[in-house]
Amino acid sequence: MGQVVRFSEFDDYLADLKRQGISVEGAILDANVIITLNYEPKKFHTRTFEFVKNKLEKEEIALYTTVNTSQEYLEFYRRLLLTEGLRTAIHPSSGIDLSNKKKQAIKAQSSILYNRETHQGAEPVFNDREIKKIRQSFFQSGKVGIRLWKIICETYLKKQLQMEFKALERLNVSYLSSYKEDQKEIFTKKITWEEAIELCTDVGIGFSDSMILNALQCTHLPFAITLDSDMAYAVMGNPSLKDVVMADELIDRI
Amino acid sequence: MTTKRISDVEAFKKDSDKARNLPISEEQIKRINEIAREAELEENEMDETSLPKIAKRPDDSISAQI
Repeated sequence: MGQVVRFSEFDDYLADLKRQGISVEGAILDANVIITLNYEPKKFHTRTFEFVKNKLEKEEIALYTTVNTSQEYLEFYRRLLLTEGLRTAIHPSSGIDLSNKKKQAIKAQSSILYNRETHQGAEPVFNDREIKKIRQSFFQSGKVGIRLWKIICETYLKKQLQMEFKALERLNVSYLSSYKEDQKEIFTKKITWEEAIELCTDVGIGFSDSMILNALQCTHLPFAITLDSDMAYAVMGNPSLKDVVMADELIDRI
Repeated sequence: MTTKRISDVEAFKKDSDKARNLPISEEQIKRINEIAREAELEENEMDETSLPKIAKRPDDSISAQI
């Protein structure tokens, strides 16, 4: 039966797997783990960083993920980089002098975000709707407004997001694919959409989570690492699933 | 045989921090401000043309009532 394993119990869990003769060549990482690893304001940053460095790296456990995970990682950084860029652009010390109208458009969404940070403990990151509203106000100024928005993106987003993508390579995460020649021995069966849908609809977990669990089930890899309770609920609801490893505090809340 | 690739979390974080802290040059700021000025002129023109016609004709009896 699939277990939900705490970070603090990982050493014993790993020793147990080895005693059973189970090979621990690698593990699958969820997108939220990758994002939390290098974004310090994230609640479990320190715990996750130390876990990956002191447990996985030390034991030479290779990291795998799905292409979906990279998309989620880059989407988070798109919003983060634009938030930090736009907030910088309206700061008096930036040297940037936008019109009052444009400043107001950014300030309005920034205030909404600030309230969310203060009252709900949210991260200082615009949601997609807030970015769309700001962009709309630039585009409403016609061709010049569009040029202005584009140069803001060029200044605060373009090179930075490419660098974030390159940074992922340093994590040495391999994308799981049964079509890759050098990964054929990791797979026990083909990954199918139907099985991912089956996992999603069992207890109604997020679809990207069901894709991670589906990939796990189709490989020799024994566990996934996540900060999402959906994965824990899926494992708790289905005895045939493999294990997930999570921060202790998250398990305590389940 | 798969060649194992082991992560380097320290390097990952370091490179990611570099991306977020990439300095913005004076040249980039200058370019933004130049286009911001053009956009402001465009906005002012758009504001002017969107004023109701009535307000532009002080002799008109309707505008006199307003």
